[in-house]
Amino acid sequence: MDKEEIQKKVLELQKVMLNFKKGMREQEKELFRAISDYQKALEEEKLKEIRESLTNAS
Amino acid sequence: MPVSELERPKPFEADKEATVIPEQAVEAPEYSEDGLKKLVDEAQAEIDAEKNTALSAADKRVEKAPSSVGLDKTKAESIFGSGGFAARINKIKDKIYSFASKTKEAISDIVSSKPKPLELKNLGQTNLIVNKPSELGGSDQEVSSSDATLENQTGVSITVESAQESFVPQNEPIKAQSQENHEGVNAIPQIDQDRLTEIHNPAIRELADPIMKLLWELRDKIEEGSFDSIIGDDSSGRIPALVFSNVINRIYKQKEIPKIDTKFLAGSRGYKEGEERFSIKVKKIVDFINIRLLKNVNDREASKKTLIVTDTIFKGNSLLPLVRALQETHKPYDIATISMTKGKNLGIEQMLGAEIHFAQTEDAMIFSRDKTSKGVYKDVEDIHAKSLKKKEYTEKNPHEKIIIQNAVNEGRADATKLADLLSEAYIKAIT
Repeated sequence: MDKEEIQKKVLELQKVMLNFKKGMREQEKELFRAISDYQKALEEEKLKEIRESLTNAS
Repeated sequence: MPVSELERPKPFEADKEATVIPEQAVEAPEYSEDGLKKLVDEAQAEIDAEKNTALSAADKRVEKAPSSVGLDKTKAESIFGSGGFAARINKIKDKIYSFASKTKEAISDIVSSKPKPLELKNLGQTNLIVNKPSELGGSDQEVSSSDATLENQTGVSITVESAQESFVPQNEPIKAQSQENHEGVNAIPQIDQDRLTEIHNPAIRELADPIMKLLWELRDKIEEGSFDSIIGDDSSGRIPALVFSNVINRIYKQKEIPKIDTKFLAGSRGYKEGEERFSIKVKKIVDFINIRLLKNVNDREASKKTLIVTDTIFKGNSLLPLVRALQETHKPYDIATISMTKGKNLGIEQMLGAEIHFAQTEDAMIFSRDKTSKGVYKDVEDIHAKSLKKKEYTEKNPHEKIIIQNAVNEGRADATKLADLLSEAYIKAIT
């Protein structure tokens, strides 16, 4: 492999990594949204529990 | 080594950070063949590290979720499964595995100079779509859906042998819809989809297109300043009404029209016209309208209307006491709903005495979930929804007040963000 070819591959590698990071960032955001939604569902369930216990107590 | 020097976003903080990765890589120093191999090894290790960090942070977050809200672990696990969260999260995790694996293969190919069986364009970009090999009939067919290719952006073609999963970001179908709507003279204004992702609550995010559609449908009346007030149907119509109110007020401000007055009234499911309790409810609403609403707007033109904003109309009965009260006070009104499950229905419009503007026939998510972000709940006998923060609902559980307040704050912030986006899109389109 000559120097020029190596240099070209290094640049290709860098660009692939840049795009990997961008893609990962998108995926992480999506994962974060999904987990936030799950947490919200748990919060709703907790509120439901609390309301039920208050209704039963009164 | 330039690759490893690139800044990696912290897991789950990516959307908060303004870190910008440059489109063009910095100029690389000269490397020998061994140096290149070392770079490849480092890049492969970095990919694994990124993947593992993201996945393990997600696992920890999921694990801690039940205790963070004080909920029983077994119940939380049941919600995780039955609510579809396990499937959704696992699907995203699979995508991450697949994405990391394909990038590693692509990197190996750079040094090995392997033949390229499938050109994968847009790797890591927001509109990448890669079909399963089986769906491609085992051919080397190109499956990218975008005009902007990775090759165009970076000058690099990446090869992969086994694409396994579709990778379509959440907002993509909305974008496609908006673009489609944008064709033609009466096209609905386009919402900034990138900024839409800043809205954390999916139930509020989901309101963007329907509210934009309704605003656009009502634009002649809005432009004329026909509305002097909004009555939001509490509790599930509260967020849509707040957004409407916020957007219309921004438009009015530009036109130097006085601000609209916004009130909330609890919906009235289960009431039948002719029953005594129906009449009592109408009387309560008439008093409310006279004292709280007309008092604020009675110096304006009599023809100005109230816009009733709700989230979903099934049969229209829950709005009946409100429209009867408005009729009794001779206050003209229009009705806007996110969802009208029966579609256009003259019978319901006749019953409610107004044309009903609706955006969709599917249920709005805000109707079925996310009670906390609205911060209120309702009892049918009351004309107002009650605050979830009321003492009797908080004193027995230390978690509750914090949960409610956080949700309410987040809901308000999201509603304001949505109003920003909608008013910007509306004003841009109308001028």
